Amino acid sequence: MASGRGTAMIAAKEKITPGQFMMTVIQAQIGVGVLFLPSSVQSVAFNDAWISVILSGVTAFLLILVMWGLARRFPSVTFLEYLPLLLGKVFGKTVLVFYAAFFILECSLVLVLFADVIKDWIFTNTPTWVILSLALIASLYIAQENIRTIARFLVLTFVLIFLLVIIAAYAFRDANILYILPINQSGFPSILKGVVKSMNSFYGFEMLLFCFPYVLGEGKSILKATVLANIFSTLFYTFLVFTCLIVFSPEELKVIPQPVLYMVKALSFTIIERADLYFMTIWAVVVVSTVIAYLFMSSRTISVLLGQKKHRRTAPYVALFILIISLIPHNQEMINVLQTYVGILSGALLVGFPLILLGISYGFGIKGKEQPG
Amino acid sequence: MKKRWARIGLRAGLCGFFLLCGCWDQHLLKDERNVSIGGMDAGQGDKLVATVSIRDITTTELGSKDLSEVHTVLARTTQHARDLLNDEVSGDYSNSKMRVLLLGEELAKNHDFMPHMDVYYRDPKSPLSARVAVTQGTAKEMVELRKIGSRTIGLYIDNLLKSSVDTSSIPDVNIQTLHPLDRGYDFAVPYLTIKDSMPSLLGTALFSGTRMTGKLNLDESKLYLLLCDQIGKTLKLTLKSNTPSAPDGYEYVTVDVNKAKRKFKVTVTKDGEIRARLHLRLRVTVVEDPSNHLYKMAVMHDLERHLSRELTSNAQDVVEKIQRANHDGFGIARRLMSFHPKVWEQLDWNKEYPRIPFDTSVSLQIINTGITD
Repeated sequence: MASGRGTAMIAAKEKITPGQFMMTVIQAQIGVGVLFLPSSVQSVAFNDAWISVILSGVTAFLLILVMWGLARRFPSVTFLEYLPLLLGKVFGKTVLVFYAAFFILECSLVLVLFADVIKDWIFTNTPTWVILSLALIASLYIAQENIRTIARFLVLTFVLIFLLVIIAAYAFRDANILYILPINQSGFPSILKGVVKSMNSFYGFEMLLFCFPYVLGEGKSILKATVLANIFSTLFYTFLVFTCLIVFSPEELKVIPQPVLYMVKALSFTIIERADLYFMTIWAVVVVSTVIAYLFMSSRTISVLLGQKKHRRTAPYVALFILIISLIPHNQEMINVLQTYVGILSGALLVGFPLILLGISYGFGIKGKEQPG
Repeated sequence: MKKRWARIGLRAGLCGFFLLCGCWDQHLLKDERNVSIGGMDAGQGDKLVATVSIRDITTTELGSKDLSEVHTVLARTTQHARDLLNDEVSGDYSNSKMRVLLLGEELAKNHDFMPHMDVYYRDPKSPLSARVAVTQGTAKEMVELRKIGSRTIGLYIDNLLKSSVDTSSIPDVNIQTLHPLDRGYDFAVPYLTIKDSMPSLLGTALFSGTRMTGKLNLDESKLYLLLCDQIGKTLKLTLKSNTPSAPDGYEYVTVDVNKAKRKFKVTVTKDGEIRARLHLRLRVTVVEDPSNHLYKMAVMHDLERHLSRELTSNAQDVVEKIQRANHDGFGIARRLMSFHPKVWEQLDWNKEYPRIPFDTSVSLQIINTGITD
């Protein structure tokens, strides 16, 4: 029972501020979706895709409330430690295996999509394993460290997201607002389908489960930080989807998988051409940030499963495992299969399960100790 | 000690990654032969005649000299043409720096040229910002001019088109904006000819769907751009003045458009009749008017009234012409899709469009007369 309690006391030098936490969540949320979200949501919700994205943001907000409600009851330990308290040791560990599988698969999916885009757009002849290992090695370097180091790095690269906004905003030059009219043409069921499709881009707020005890300040300020992060990501995604919808006609979006890149590709400034390459350079950092977050979460989970206190040792093996998994899919069909698995797992583990846990916690009155100090 | 060496080794290994740069996707400018202008013509059967001019710069002690090397191939598709050209040309053939794509009139009029464009939209390195123009006669003749003065044909035509776009004589189109999928409006491209073995502008070629169906001369083309609300940096109109029986040299007035405001409304009456209202308000500066002395308000207002009338009648002619060509440059189809989706679904657009009654009017206001009145 006490195996997980060893880390209950968190050293002050591992703590992060709510501001740092906010940017960590943003970075975990914003990732490959930047390029894929517009056309994947558009394929089901058509010109109302932007409404779907906003609704996904609202859904994410509700899920954050649930997770926060859960984490608040165990203020001094992380999810990995209180899960066995709620479910019993054996069942708790079994569930953790699923969580570990989900984080690993999600991380692999992000990398597969990343490598796919890089190969399609820039490095056609470079072998996939090179692209994947380079991204993973860079991520591993940071993900091995403690939360504070990770958060600091993510704060540093946060600025880049604004550069993406600036480059994309330039495409408004060719925009035609008429493309999104009439609003609600596709009908509510299609918009809901779009919500399901876009949810995957909003995951990342589960960092809350891992970071809660590490964040300085009261529970309320942590909630505020997470919600603000979610609002930022929602606005960012909505902006991108909206821009793509008004720049490309519906028929065009069907055949363009990465409309954001396509949109900026034809931009030509006085001394800069091929704005898509600049966009992708920045996007690569944003993706690596997401990979860092997932690599961190998966290696933490695996460490707990193996009874290790630190995740520094386990992280390289997890990274290797992720690399192997991401090398498997070699065509679109297999990527779709992977996407479906991740979708099912995330639905169960990030939507359904926290609700059940919250119910158990309240129903049986299981609570963690008050945070010392 | 051992650990330290391991770390140093790791870092040295990481530095080794920089050497990967040249391994797979290296394209050296010195090995590439860059096309500056490409032309497509209809060949026998459904074949394609592709003509390209490759720009070479030779530097001697006397300075650098531009050379233009022209190749023509008969191919099945655009990609096939590229492969054939690559076999013919010494060095690696590359069209990623192409500035202009010419279409022969025969190809534009009697064939669907869109299949030939597919590879431009699919290839990540394709020159999406290359300008597109139709040439009277064949594109081959045009490219075979090789050099005009000291400039190669590609640069010459690119600059010709660029400056004419700035003065709003022709629409600003590139390969990207041509993407024709279900936009709800038709595109128009510049129309070139060869005059005294020099390329020169004739006006605008109007397309209906993917076929060229009509053309406008330079005067009509300017008015067309005004009506489409697509003016470039400046726009000057030279019109007949209101002084009948004026001696030679006194009969014209030139105005510079400072501000153009377009009101465009598409309405559907209860019995399903579509109507379009197009009203243009111009604020102009008189830059040349030898016959009038505009210090008298009455004279100026007379001139305003006269020019408004003349422009209105010219605009009506342009609208009639584009309707006859079945060219929907104003995007009426898009407006119907957006505001009246039910009407749109039941429409036989190609039959309906030429019959739509247009209510076109232009009103003009002189706000400046230069440094003399």
